[in-house]
Amino acid sequence: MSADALDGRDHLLNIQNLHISFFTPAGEVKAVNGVSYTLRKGEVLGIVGESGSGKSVSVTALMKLLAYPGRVVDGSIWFDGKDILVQPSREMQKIRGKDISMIFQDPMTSLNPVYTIGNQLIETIRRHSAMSNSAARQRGIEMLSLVGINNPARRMRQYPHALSGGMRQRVMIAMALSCSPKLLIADEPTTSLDVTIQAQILALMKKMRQETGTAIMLITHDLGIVTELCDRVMIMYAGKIVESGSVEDIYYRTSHPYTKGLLDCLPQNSEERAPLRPIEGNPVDLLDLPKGCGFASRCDKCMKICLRETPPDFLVGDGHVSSCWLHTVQNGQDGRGNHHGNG
Amino acid sequence: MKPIHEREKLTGELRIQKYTQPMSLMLNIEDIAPATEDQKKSRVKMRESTTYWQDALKRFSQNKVAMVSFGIIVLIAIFAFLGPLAAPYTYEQQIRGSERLFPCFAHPFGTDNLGRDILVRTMTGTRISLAIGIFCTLIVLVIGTLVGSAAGYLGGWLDNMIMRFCEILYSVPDILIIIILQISMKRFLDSAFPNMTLGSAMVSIFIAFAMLYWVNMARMVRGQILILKQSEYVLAAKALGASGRRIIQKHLLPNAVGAIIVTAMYQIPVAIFTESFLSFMGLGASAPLASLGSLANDSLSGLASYPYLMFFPAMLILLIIYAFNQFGDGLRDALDPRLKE
Amino acid sequence: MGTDKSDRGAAKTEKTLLQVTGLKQHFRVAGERAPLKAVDGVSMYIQKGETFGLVGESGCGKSTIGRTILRLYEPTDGVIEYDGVDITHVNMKPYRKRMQIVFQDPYSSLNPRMTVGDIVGEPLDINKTYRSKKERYDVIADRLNLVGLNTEHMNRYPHEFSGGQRQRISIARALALNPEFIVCDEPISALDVSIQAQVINKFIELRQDLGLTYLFIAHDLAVVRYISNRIGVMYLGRLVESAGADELFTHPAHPYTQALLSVIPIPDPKMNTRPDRIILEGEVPSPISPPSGCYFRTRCRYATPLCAEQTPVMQEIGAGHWAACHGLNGTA
Repeated sequence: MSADALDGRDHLLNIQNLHISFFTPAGEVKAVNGVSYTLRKGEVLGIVGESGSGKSVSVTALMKLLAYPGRVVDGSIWFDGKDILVQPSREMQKIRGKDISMIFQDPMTSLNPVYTIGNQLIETIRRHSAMSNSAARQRGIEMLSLVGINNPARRMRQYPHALSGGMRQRVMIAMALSCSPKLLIADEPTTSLDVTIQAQILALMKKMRQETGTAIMLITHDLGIVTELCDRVMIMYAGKIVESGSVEDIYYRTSHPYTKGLLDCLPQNSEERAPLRPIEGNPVDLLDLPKGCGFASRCDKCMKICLRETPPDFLVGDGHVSSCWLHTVQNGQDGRGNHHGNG
Repeated sequence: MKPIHEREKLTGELRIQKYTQPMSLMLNIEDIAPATEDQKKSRVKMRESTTYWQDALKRFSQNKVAMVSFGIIVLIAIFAFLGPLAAPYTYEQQIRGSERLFPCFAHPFGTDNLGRDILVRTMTGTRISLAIGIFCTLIVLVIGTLVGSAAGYLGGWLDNMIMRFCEILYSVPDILIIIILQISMKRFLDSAFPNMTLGSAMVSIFIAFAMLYWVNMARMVRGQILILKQSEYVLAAKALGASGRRIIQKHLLPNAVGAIIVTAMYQIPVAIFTESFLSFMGLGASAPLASLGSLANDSLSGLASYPYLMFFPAMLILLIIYAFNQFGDGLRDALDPRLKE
Repeated sequence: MGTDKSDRGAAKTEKTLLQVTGLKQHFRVAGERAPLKAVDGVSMYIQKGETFGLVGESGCGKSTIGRTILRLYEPTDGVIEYDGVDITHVNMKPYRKRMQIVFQDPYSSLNPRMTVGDIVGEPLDINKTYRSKKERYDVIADRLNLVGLNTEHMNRYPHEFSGGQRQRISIARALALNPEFIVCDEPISALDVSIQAQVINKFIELRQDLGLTYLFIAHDLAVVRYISNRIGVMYLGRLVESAGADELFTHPAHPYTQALLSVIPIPDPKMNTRPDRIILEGEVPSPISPPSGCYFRTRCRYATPLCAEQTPVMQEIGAGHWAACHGLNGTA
């Protein structure tokens, strides 16, 4: 089996065995439990998971923005040849915004309400480059028109509250891309937007990806969005990566029972009214994480060993990894096939 | 986290992650048997059920500074309320031949120029301070909560009226009100209660605090109620046909009670300090009654020769205010719902 | 608009449980002279035992309709008839037992200071429907069982439960008084994907077992299609189209519905370059100062001058399929 796709030579980002815990008064909340992944230059990686799966936390650590009482307990994060975990905060400030930039679910909270769009855009550009004020303004206007904002010169003078949610997210994208970062992290960028606006933003991100070649990490709970944008997908559950592979691997050669459950549990937008097959049970308690596989209590194929030992990462296909004990008894992929017809 | 040199030495050349090939592991036949429902269920335990108050108590007891402050407050309360009962003198008793004594075994805090025991006088003064604090809190709790929740829940013109009134009260300097009250009520109080130990000035302070200090609470409660009123559980209760009274009692106040207690607690040191300040300025306790402020004032004339006269009451004021503030902080951390979950 | 006969959506029949005619709900907004027209002339009906889905983007007024029907807000104009009785201005007390609501956010819709038993028992306490503590207990236990919880959960507090379990508690509360009609106000939007299906199945199961009628408000179109018999599509406070669920999805008539359906993200890599995708330009206009004529015309590909002059009325374009668009008459 070729492991070339998985080695680290041209990797922009390499995260190994990352453990993150939040030390709350109630006890240690193990948010991320041994996560390893890599990202190549220009690649678009989707991280899919439900609330509490640790999908956002691992990325916050990569930005070194993990807030108290959260702490990286173990592991390493290498970005572009630098060990992120030992970078002094001054270095990190340079990396954030210039090399890695981020857009969030709620664009309002990440724009400062007392400065104009232009002010914030120019400041971001000048902080990371030696541009003059007027050159930075020019660059800002270019960026705004690039993300599809009409009359950008006028928008530069407006305050964030004067813009709608979709408009603000466009501004955030413009700001994030203004310094040509190597990596753009998008944390649920369309979750608070309506479907028609979501479609606009996704189309925009696709276009920006083609034009700038920036690597993107897209964090979302919506499998539909991932297919639109991503090359590779990681599915997270209870602080671990349960399955990762190309978009086609995940959708057509689904290997992990949780991924199958996720794909099967929602209505398929067709005339069919067969009863839905939900994933039974409730999410695990991260304060009191049981031994073995985190998904075991909700898994319909759960075996005795799953309750006792953490499954290793099985390489079930080229670049397709699934972490499930079932692969010791069957050869991984059982092909869900394509039963998603268009409704 | 392990030290850097012990962590894997990843420098540009990155380690290839280890993966397992499917079917490559041999497992016991027992291990791959399906797990029973019971085994699966046993992994999902519900944690011990805790109420809000149990939770708050646990958080509070884990807060060392707050617990120490609480201990100090208890000690001060014993000192103030039980101390005078155990002491061989009263606060106004002048002991002939024992004037101006330095702290000694018979008079641990010393005596003043009239031969009064400073320890007992400090105890009495502390008692007045605490009484002011407690009285103020009670008034603030009752009036502030009632007015604030009425304004917040009913809204409309009533809310407008109450809030404008609060703003007016808020903008009047309280010292001024107290002085005016003292002057205007002195004659009435003196004739109505001629044998009152507190003195008309102290009574005026109580009345003024009652009049003024609920405003803060009312504004806070109103704000809380306005926020809580928007919550969906209140809407759900309305959809069930709940009366306004039930909504306030069952839904709004229980959810505001943490903030109400914290606000009331912060009011105590403010009241105590204001009283001490007024007494220090000669506007509070009048002789022979002693309050911490007036004791400090009495000591001014001979400060250079008898510094202990100032030291003990001043230390107590400091201690009381510090302890109540820290206690309030601890309560806020324990009760603040934002820290929950 | 609103009083026009042709605007009714459909005629009232024997089986009609709820009929709304020309419903308007305007809110005053601080600092604005014009009111915010959250709902601006909506007419619709729901038959007994039916699930009527209401879809639209945020701010289109779909949640407001649900709340106004329950008279949690007093309607500005229009008529609400429930089971043949005009309830627009009556005392709602007798109807509170019959009409209930389940909210979107399972975190904010349960009082954190009350136990689960008291939350589910609150409707009983308010309407004093029991004679003994035992009777109250039995009803609560029964409703908890209905939604898949048990009596062990009664003395616990909402924060001890996960989102899906909390939503079940909400449903149990709504069921406490044996209602016949439930407004489901985005009941699954705040839940995790793997939990959503559990709750949808529960709604369907309860509908069958208890003969419930739902007004199901949501923005997830695939879910609404799955659960509803008929669907109404709202835009900026107005109903633009209503039809049977599959009819609406297979033959959308209104340009807005067409665009909405074309952008549903589908979790299938083969589908991600759909040629028929219509990406709407611009944003939804403000409901304080909506455009003249058809509210959708500012984003509509087919807009003509007529659309700015006249407000299109609902017209029946097929059996039970209604839409409000000038384009349907060939005039646009």
